[in-house]
Amino acid sequence: MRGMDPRVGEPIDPTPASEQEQRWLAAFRSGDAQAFQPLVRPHLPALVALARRHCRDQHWADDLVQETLVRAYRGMTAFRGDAALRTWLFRILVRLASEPGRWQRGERAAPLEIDVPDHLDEPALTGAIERELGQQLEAAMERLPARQRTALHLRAVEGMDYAAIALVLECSAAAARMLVLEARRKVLARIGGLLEP
Amino acid sequence: MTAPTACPYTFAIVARHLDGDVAAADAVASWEPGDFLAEHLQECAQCRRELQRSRRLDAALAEASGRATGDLEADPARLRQLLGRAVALAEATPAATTAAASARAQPRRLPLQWLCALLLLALGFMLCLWLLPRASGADVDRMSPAPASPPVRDADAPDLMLAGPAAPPAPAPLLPQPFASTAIPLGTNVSPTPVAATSFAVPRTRVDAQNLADVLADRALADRLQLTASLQFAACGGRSPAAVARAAAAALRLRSSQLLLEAPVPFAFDAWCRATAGLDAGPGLDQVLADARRRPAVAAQLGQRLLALGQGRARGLGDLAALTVAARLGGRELDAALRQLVRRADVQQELTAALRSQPVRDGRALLLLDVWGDLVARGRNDDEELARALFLGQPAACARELQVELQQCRQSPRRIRCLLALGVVGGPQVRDTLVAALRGPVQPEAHAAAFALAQFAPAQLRDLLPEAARGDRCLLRAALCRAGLPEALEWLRSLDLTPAERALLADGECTLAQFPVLAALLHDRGPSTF
Repeated sequence: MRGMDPRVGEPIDPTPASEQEQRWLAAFRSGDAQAFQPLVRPHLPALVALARRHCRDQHWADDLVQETLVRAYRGMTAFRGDAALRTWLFRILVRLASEPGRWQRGERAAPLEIDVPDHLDEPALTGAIERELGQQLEAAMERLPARQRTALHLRAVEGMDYAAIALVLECSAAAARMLVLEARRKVLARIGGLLEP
Repeated sequence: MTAPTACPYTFAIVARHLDGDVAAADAVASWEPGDFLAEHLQECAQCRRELQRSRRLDAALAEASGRATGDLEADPARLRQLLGRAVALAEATPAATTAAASARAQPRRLPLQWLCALLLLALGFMLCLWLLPRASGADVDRMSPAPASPPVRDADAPDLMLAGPAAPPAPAPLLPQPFASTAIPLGTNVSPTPVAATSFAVPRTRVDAQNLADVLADRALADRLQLTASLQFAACGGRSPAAVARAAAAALRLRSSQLLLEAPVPFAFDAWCRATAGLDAGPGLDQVLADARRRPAVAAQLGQRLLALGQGRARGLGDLAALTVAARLGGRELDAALRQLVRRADVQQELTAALRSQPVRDGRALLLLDVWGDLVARGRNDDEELARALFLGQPAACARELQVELQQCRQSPRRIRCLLALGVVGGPQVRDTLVAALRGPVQPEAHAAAFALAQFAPAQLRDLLPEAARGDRCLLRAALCRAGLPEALEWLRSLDLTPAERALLADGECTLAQFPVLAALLHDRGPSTF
């Protein structure tokens, strides 16, 4: 867990671009277009995960990530590296996702595979419970406002602190904290029973 | 569902102990002595419970997200593809000067309604430009006040959206004759230019691809273009023949198809598949398919879709569209993929429906015969029902392929299927082929030919009655009886039959399996001549 910045109202990403990222950045700025792929490749799964939180359809999510990468490619030369590259990418994605009606037209795709076990032994039962929890969780997340959903995802899945979340959402760290806590409260109010010990 | 949080420190405790927000926690409890929150946590069961549930929630979210993107982690090629596509698109467009500019440079697309409204405004402006000189010049006398004459009504102009040929004659029409002659019929969609919102470039986004697909799939595109052209041509006193609009629509449709196929993104290909699958048979579809056949990548992508479909994936509309387009396109690779798919999945109905909807296509009969063989191998009855399911409604070209296959094939089961299929497809030339096959050396094939002949309408078989009356033509007689010719049914009544045999032939609808019995009865019990 990274430490919080004491100046809550002024979001500062405490993890600027790593040295490796800085090297790739320098190479990209010097005209080596090939440096872009290793630069953003480690962040792709996270981008896709966040995009899937915004889009109900996997293909739309891929579209959103693709457009994010296009924007990142075109703006990478001006990226100073003060903040983490991942944070910057998330910020582009969230901005794009906020365009109404552009990335949220699709319905959630039907599950590609239907797993029907031959018999319900203990592991299968456990799997069924986990699936039920997963579905309820997804439904509860879907019902959150977009910013709360994004904030909770960034906190719980990506492990970002409030300051980094604030950078992504372009708000203060205090506001980011409230978004995370409020989102948690709402989700727990809906599916808290499934999380009881 | 749980009760709302009552303890005022729960948020601060979760923020501190789960999110590490020391500063916020201190701010909340700064007036309390010592490590107040830690002590409170020891005492407050509700805060402990909320903290525990919040931890579990975060863990569940992380796990669910990991599961959702697990396919990506396991498939580096897909990530590479996504990344490569993005780089290709980015390099194809000019770079922004700064990151901020890049982030701000979000495309602002006008909604379709706005574009339509702007277009209508422009058209209205053009009309005004045309009307003003006429009103102030030659028609000034007509427009001058006259007690008995009705005022010039703007409504005399045809309704641009619903212009009909039956407009009442106006006393002083302001519009020129060419305008009226080029008005399109009623029922045309109100959107005059569907292409207005479409960027005819290689699509980058799903919206662009969908716009192109809409143009490609638009059945009324020619009418819409004619509507627009009518207005413009009328303004300059010209004509807008419908043929020009049709040609323009075909060109636009083909261009849309080409752009969709040139885009290196899967959603463009999906959009193309869906639009092409929905096109009606005709020259437009033939053009699109001919262009697609020149692109090896299309067959490769469709082959991959069919392969994935055969691997047990749940079927969606996109898969159905891919199957339809593959069946319409044809070709060696795709036909092989379709044969493989039929062996693995129950898509026979979808395949035959797709084949029916495309008259121009080589290899249709061979594909269907192969599918027939595969279905029989999987347990379907090798009978006339399957023949009907596969070949009913297939175009006449299919009959020609079946005749060629009948000449070349030496396997009796396949020859029998050819004969049965010919009976289902029908046609005058087919009838002669079947009559000739009645005299074939292999009895099951002769029976199949007679049964196939019996599928024809009685009127098409009536001229065969004299030949059937000959003593050695019992199969032809059986075919005519099965077909239901009244004269032939008289032959059945003259037979000396047991009640069971009579019951068998009572409805005149014996099956392929029962048909040899009918032929044998006519052969054994009937007189030598009729």
